[in-house]
Amino acid sequence: MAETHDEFARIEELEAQLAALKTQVAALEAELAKHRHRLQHQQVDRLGEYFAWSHPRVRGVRELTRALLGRRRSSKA
Amino acid sequence: MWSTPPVAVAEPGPVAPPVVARLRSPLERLGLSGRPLEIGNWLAVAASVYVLITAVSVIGAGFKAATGDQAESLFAFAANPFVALMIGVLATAATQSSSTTTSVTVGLVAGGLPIAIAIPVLLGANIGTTLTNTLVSLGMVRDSESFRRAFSAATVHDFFNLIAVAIFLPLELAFGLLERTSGWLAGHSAGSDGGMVAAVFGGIGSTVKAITTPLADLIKTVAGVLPGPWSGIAMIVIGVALILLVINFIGKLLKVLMVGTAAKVLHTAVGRGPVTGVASGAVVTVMVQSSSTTTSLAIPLAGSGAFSLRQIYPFTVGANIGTTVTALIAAFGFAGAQAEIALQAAYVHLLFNIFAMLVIFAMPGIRNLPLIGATWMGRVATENKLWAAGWVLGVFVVLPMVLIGVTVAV
Repeated sequence: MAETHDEFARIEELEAQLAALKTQVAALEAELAKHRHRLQHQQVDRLGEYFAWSHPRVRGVRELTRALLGRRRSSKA
Repeated sequence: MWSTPPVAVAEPGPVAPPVVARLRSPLERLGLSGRPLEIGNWLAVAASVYVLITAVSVIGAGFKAATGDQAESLFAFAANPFVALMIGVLATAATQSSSTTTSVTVGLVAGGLPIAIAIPVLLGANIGTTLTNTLVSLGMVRDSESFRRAFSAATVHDFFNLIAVAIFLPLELAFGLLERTSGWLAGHSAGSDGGMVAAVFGGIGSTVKAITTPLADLIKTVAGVLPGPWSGIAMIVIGVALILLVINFIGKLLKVLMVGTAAKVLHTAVGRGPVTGVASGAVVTVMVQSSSTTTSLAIPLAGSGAFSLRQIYPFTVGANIGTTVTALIAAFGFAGAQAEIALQAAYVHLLFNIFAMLVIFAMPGIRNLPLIGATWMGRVATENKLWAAGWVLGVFVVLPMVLIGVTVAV
């Protein structure tokens, strides 16, 4: 009988711990979302800057060519 | 696009420093600034749309003049849907504008090109347009983490559109899905069985046609000095050149005019679900009249780590839908029976992208396929840059050319 009572008490204790952890997780998730959204808003604020990138496609091809040539040179060396 | 996934946040990585310039309107060169510049920009957009619609109608007339009633036999080489598909891919990759390919196709269809040939071309335009943001993502190649995220964000668009074509081209060949649905829709919005809606569309079409006729006639007169079918070919060439010019020009103007509104749309979408992501992608694309601009915009947002691949994905799906507006505008260059068939071609592009969204993005089983492909591609391309080069050249240049070559040879 006493053993059963102990089990009930342990379950209650664990449930309380779990509830506290869930509250903590929810708070962390909310805090994380807040920071993530703030970061996303900051990025969206740079929209004009991204729109104004000059020749991004040419730059992309040039950068890849450089990376490939650099790789080839370093492998030769 | 913007819902928060329950995963640990990655610290934003450094974005490779771009060559930053102030966003300038082409009209600033005329010494305009402030309010007069803004009014000038809007007037220039209106004038460009006018030229776009006129150019599409000139292409239609030119195609008719050049081919007579022989369009079907002259374009027998493109009757193979794979050749037509690859023509769409190559043309769009070369012009870096799906709006150009779709507008020209609308004009050709109105001029007599069979819709069955045009449909794979329109599907190919969807694949070709994904090259732009893939090239933009290569600019981050120096920073591995930024590049992995950026290349995945770019190729999720590639994979989505490739899967869409893999699903809908066979369905089109087997059942004529897009041809039937677009034909039904065009019949009800521009045909004789359309009732009130058709009357409104017809009224708008006739008005636009009346406004664009003087410039179209001028171009026809200039091209008319050439003998026989050459005048028609000259009209097509002039029309395509005008479309290339004005679409590029409209893009530059709308970037300046719409940057503030586009930012507001994106700010509103932050923190919301995938449906808002799709809607914001579509709205921003309609604003700037270019899916390439919208999807390229997503590259630095993804590369920085601020937005995850899962958040960028619906935005690119929305861009696919938003870009179909240009062909719909172009279809207003025609009246009567030509208007119906032109509108049908424009509807093919719209319906294809809506169906693709419903079948791929809205279906849990298939939704993740583009994400899986893009994540894998981002990883292997970061480990070995040859994969990035191979992907760009293979999908957008070599594969289309080889397929066309093999098909024509056989």
